[in-house]
Amino acid sequence: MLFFNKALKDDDILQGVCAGGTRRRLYENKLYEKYYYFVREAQFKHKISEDDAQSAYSDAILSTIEHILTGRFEGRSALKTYLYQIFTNKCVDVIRKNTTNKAEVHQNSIGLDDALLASLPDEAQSAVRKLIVESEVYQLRQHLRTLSEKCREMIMAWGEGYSDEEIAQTMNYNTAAVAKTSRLRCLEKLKEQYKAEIANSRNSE
Amino acid sequence: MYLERIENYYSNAISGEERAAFENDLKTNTALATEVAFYIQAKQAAQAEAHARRKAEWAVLGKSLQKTKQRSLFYRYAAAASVVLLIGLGWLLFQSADGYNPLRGQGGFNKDWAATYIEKNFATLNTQMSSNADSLQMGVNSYNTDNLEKAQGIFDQLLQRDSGNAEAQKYAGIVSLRRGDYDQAIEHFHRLGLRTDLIANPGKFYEALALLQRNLPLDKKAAENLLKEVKAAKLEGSKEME
Repeated sequence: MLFFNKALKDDDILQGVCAGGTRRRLYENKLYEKYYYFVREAQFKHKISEDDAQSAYSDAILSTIEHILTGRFEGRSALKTYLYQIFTNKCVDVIRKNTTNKAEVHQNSIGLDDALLASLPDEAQSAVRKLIVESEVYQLRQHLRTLSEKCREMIMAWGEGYSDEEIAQTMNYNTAAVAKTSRLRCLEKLKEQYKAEIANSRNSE
Repeated sequence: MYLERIENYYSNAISGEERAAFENDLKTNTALATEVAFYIQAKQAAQAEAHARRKAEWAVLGKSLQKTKQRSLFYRYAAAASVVLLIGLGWLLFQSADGYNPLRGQGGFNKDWAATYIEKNFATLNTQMSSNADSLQMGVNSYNTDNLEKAQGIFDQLLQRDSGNAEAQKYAGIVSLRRGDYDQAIEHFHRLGLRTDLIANPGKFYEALALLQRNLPLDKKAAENLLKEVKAAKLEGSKEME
């Protein structure tokens, strides 16, 4: 019966997430389930709606997972505490957004802490940064949706941090190399589509 | 054009020299820098799309978790209620269980039996010689002529004057019993039963009779306990129980 289930240990969850592939997906869900009770508590504590609380919780889980995968979560505090802190911050953001009525136009704008950008040395970094326009991510998402399902799946998996090896396994490619080539071809397609759109809008100006 | 090169740079698939070359290039090669910008943003977009889909999946999962939690709560309460019910039933059964009953096989010592006994034995009173013979006799006479109220008054008065008068105590109880004042009867017989100085003390036996007549909850049990005592100690009335 349900109430005889022993709670899953945080260590098991960490191991599962780091294992990658399908195990990662499974353990992400287990993590989500384990601390889902935060949502209800937050509703009462912060007086936010269930939808807002749930959205904040999902964001917190996604952040936590990313931190686990990139090594930003070092295990110095308990996973529960870590998640809870992130979640509380997200709730505060919600309250702020609700009270000031300032909607964030592009919640996925390139933050200063973008890992890929930050890993470039300074001069190179500023050269690239100059070319980044905030609205591009939003438009790229639109274009992403117009790609074939296969391309979309591959690129999204890549975005989530899955390796070519893992992508090959889940999407039935023979080797990681084959998956990589396929993915790059999809990226190229996306780039062409995007460039075409920019060219079109320039022409119409 | 440059995507593969960018990919290799970020996946550390190139040597240190090639890395330096790449980083240098970036400063001057606008096309390369543009594609790096694209690459970075494409990855951001991809992650954002994936996250949006995950969130949608989890929204559904969350709803089902709520339902599951409510169901499991229901089962928990149901289980707790069942346990309480079982304990309650068990207690009730225990209460009604006789265990070792020395009265078993002796017929039913119940209200009917008590009523029959009272009718048979308390229709009239007999007197005995005592110092307060006159008052006692007057009481008895009143009783025997069905003047129950007067009889009660006389015996009560006697008791007031002499609280140690066992005969008066007994008669007062009997009159109360006949009159239907079971509480008073029980009171009298109980006091009588407590005395240890009498040769033949019907107090406990009569108290049991009165309890059976009154028949409030737990009275039957109390009467049975008294009758057990009477039988065990062969007190006055034990012969009536054979």
